[in-house]
Amino acid sequence: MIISNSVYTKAEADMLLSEAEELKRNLFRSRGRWSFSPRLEQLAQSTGVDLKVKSQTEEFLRTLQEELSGLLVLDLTVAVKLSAVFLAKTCRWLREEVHQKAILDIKVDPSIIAGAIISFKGKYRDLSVGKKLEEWFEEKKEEINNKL
Amino acid sequence: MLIDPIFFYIFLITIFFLAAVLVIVVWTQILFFKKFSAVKKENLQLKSSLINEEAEILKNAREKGERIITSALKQAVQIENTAQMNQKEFSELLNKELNQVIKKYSDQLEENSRKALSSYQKSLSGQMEKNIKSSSDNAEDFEHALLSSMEAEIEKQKTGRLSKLSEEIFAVLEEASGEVLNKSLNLSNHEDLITEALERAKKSRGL
Repeated sequence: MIISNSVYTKAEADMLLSEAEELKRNLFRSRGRWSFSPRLEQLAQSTGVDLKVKSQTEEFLRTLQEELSGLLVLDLTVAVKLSAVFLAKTCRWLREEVHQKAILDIKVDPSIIAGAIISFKGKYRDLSVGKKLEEWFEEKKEEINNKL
Repeated sequence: MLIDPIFFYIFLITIFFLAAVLVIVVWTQILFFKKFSAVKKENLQLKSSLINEEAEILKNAREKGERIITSALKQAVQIENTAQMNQKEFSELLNKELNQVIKKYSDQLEENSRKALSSYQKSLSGQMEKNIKSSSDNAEDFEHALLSSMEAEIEKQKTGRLSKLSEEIFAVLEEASGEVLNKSLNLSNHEDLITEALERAKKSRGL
């Protein structure tokens, strides 16, 4: 996994996949799209691919598609919108500690208050503050009710 | 022309036979006629004797019938006279007997009615007393039951309302706590908590 090393979220991966698909279709046509997004150009540049050379571009797109399709998605529900730096940092940690091909699918749900709900490879963990608060209130329900 | 003598003899013999047959027939007829006349005469005699007998029988029967009718008429007149007399007596007797029977049954009926009425009055009085007592008891029981039921219902309603109110307050408190917590956290705190959650998940093999 070389090209997609810097791809951290599913949204980005999906966007790149659809762009690569479209480019591959138009690659050998005289007409049609023949321009690249800055992100794709950045990726190509980081891997030393000259996008003006068709054969290199084709190989680059094929590899990119393969790599992106093989990524494992970790669903992460959070309370606030996260910064790109934090996402990159988290994804790198994930790839080092959990799985080399892991990618984040971020969902924002303010009702969880803080923390995160994690779902990966069929496993689900609710580690949100909302859940903890709920558990705490459930535990103290009787006590609180008596005080009311 | 000569005739053979044999034919003459044959002719004579034939005539003789025919004459004999004729004689026999005539004789038979005479005998039959004689016998028929005797039977006819006998029949006439018998018939005449039968007619005489029938006439005699009819005469006797008529006389006897007349006698019977006369006797019957006499008896009928006698019976009618007797019956008129008896009818008057019978009517008087019947009226007398009927009056006695009616009086007897009337008295008995009156007596029975009086007894039945008295018994019914007693029974009714007892039953009414019993019913009044029972109604009074029932009213008390009903009052107690109603009060208990109302108290239970009030208690139930009270508990339900309190429970609902408590739940609502609890929900508000929970929501308010969440909002306070959320507002009190900055992005960095959020990110720290997310990192902590991921690490915890990894440690507990949730990843």
